[in-house]
Amino acid sequence: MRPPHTTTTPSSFAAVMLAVFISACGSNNAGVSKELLDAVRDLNRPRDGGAGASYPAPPYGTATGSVVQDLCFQGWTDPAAANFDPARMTQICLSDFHADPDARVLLVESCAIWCVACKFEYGGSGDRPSLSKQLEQRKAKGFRVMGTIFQNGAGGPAAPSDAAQWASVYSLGFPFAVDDAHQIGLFTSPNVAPFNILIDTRTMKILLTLEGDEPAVLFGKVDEVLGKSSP
Amino acid sequence: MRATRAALFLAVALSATRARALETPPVGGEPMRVDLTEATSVFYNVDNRNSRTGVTATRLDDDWGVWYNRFNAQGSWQSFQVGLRLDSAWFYTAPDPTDTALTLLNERRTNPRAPYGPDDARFFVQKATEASRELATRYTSWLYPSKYYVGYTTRDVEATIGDFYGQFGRGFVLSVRKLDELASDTTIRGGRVTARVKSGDFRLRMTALGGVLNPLRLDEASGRYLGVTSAVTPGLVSIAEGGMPRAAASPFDDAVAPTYAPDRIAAAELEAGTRLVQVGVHGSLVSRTMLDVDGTPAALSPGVVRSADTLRTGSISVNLPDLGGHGAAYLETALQSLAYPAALESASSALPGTGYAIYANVTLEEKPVTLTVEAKHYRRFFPLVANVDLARAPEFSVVQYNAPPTTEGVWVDTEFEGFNTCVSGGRAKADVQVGPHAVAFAWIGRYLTWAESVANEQCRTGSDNLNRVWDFASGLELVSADRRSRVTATLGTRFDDTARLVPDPNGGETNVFYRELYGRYEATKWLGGPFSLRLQGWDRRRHQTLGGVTTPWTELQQLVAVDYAPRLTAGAGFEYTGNPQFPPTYFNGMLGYNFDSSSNVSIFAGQRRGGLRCVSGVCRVYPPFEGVRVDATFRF
Repeated sequence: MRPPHTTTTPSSFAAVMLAVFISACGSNNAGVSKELLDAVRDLNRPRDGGAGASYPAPPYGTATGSVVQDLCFQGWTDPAAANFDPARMTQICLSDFHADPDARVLLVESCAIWCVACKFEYGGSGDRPSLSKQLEQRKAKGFRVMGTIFQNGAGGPAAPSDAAQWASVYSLGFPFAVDDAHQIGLFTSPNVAPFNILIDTRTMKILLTLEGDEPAVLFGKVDEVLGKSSP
Repeated sequence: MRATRAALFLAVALSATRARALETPPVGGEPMRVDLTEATSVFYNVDNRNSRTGVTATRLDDDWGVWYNRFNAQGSWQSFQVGLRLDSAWFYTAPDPTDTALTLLNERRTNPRAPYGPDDARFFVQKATEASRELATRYTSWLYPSKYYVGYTTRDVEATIGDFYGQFGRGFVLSVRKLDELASDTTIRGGRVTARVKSGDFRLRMTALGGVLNPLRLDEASGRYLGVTSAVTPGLVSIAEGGMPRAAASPFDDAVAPTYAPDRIAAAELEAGTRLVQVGVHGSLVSRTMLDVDGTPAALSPGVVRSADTLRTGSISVNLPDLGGHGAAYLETALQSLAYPAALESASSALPGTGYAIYANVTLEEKPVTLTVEAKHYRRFFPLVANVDLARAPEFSVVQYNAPPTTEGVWVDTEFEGFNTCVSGGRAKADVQVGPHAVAFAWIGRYLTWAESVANEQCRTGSDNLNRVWDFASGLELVSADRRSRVTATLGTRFDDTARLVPDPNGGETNVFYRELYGRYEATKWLGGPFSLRLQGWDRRRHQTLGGVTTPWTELQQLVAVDYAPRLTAGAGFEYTGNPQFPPTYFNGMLGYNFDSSSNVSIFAGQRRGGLRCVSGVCRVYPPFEGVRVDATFRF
C-alpha cells in the first residue's frame, strides 16, 4: 500500500532541515524559529481529507518526466455552477484528478490578469477554439483542465475576486482556482504567462511544460497522449 | 569544482588588470602582433523595487553582486589570426534561499505572533524549494572560454576554425552576431570557408560553414547562466562544449537538468554578380539535440519552433546596388520548413506547414529627396530560436539564429507576440534636404498582421485574426555649420486595431489593440572649448487594451550629459512610468574617464527601469537595476 500523500518529500524535508539549520547559524536573518521547524516536521503527517486514492510516492520534481507534487488551491470545481461566488470556493488538489478513474491527461494552466496571451488562450478567436471548447472536444477521452490565476493587473497576488472576474468573463465550467502564493512559481518565473503543465493523471508524471500560448504544440501533445492511452 | 574555477578566475583577473600589446621579434620575416583587451565590471544590486508578495523570483534579484570579466587576446602573423576570449563571473554575494523563504513567510502572516501552522510550514518549504531551484541557475561563479578561433585570410580565401559570426543576405537564413544593446553575443563554433573569385567586373563569393551554435552563457543583468549536461552534448558537440558551464543541482533537488541544448548548423551561401547586379543563394539547416524523456524526444521548452528537431531555411536574393546613380534595390525571397518528431507531427494537425517570406527594399535618390520603401510579406516564417529552457532561463529567450527584417525603426518594441511571422505591409520614408545642414523626414507604415492578438501558427489570414496597423512619424536632423552640434527629433504615432471586437477592460468592447504617441530626440551642443552638452530622450503616451493597464499611461526617459573632451563625461538620467505595475520614478548618475581612445573607466549609480528592449525585432525583457556598477576597459 502506498503511503498517504504529502506535499513534502522525506529527502527534500531533510534538506530543508539542514539548510534551515545552516541558515539559522550563519544567515543575516534572525533565524528560523523552533516553532516553525516543528511545523515543518509535522508536515510528514498524513493530510486530512483528500480524494481517498493514494498519490504517487516521492521524489517529486518539476522537470518533464518527473512526478509532480500534490499542489492544492482554493477554487471552484465548476465556477459557473457556483455562480462565480468566492464564498463557495473549496480546496482543489492535483490528487483529485489522480483519483478520477476516467481522467488521462490533466492540463494545469497558470494565467494573470495582465497577460494578453492568456485572454486569447481562454477566449479563443475566430477558428481558434476557446479553452472550454478544447476541453469539450477531448473530455470523453480523458482530458481534464484546471486553470489557476496568480496575479492581478497591478502585479500583486490574485484574490478570489480576480478569479471570479476571470472565470465569469470566459464562462468557465471547468475547475478554476486562485494561486495567491504562486505555487506555479516552482516551475517557472513570474514573468511567464500563460504557463501550461501537462500531467499524466495515472502516474502524475509531467508530460510537458510550456511557456506562452502555443496551441498547436500543446494540444498536439494532448492528442498524442490521448491517442496512446487506453481506457 | 566551482571554488576551483573561482580561484582560477581571480588569478586571471588579478594578473590582467592592465593589459599590454606585444610585438615579437620577426618570425619568418614578420613580427607577430598580440593585442590584449581587458573589460571588467563590478556591480552590486540592491532592492530594485520589483518585489511582489509571495513571488520568490522578485526577491532573489536583490542584494547580489558580481565581478564580471572578459579577457580577450588576439594574435596575428602573416595571414594567420588567433583569438581567445575568457569570460568569468565571481558572485561575491548572493541571496540565501532559506532567508528568502522566511522573509516571504513573515510578509504573508497577518499576525506575526500567531503560532506557525501547517499552511505556514507548507508555504515556507515551497518557497525555500523555489528559491533553491532558482538559485541553481543563477549566481554561480564560472570561468570559461567563451570564444576562440584560428583564422587564415588571403585575398581569395578566408578560413576559420573556432568561433565566428555569420550573416547571409538580410538575415532570413542566418544572422548570428553580436547585439550589445541586448547583451547577446552568439557565434557558431565550428568551421567556415569563404572563397572569392574575381574576373574583370564579375565577382563570385562562396561560403560554407558548419558547427554548433554558441551563445553567451552568462547574463550579467540577471546573474543567470546556461548550463549543459552530457545528455545534450553528444558526439562532437561535447568537444565544442568543453570547458563551458555545466548545469548544477540545487540543494533540494539533485536532478540535474540542462537549460541549454546546443543546436548544430550547416549553411552555405553563393553570391555572384557585377557592380550593378548581384544574385545570392543562401541556405541553412539547424538540427536540434532533443532530450530523451521516457523514449520521447522533447525540446527543453516546447513551442512551434523549439519543438522542431530540424529547421531548413533557404533564400534567393537580388541586389541592385546602383540604379544609375539614383538609388538601389534589393529583393529576397525565402522558404522555411520545420520538421517535428514523428509522434508530435502525426498527433497535431495545427503545426505550421512550409513558410515563406518576401522582402524588398528600394531607395530612390533625386536631390534633395531620398525615398526609401521597404515591404514585407511573411507567411509562417519564424525566428530560429535556440533550444533554451525558458522556464528556468527566460533571459535567454532572445537567442536566435536569424533575424527577418521588420521594416520598422530599429528601436520599435510594439510588434507584439507573433506579429512578424504572419504579416504583410511596409514602410515608406522620405528624407528631404531642406537646407545645407538640415534634413526633414517623414514616414508612413502600414501593416496587416494575423498573429499579434491571437496565436496563429498556421497563419490563417481570416478577419478574426487580423490586426491593422498604421505607423506615422516625422522629424528633422540639424547639424551646425562647424559640425560640432547636432539635433535629431522625431514625433510619431501608432494605431493598432483588431478587425474583430475585443473585450474592453473598462466595459464593453473595442477594436483598439494598441495606441501610442511618442517623441524621441538626441542633441549634442558644443559649449565652447572642450565642453559639450548631450541630451537624449524618449517620451511615450501608451494605451494597450489587453495589457493589464486599463487606462493610458506615460513613460519618460531623459538623459543629460556633459563631456569634457577627451577625458571626462558626467551624466544624469531620469525615468518615469505611469504603469501602476512598476515604481514610478528612477534617478541615476554616471561619471566616465577616458585614459585614451580605447581605455576607459566609468561608474554608474542609481536606478534604471526594466522593461522590453528591442533591436531590429529581436527583443528581451530586462530586469530593473538599482545599485552601483563600475566598468573598465583597457585595450592596446
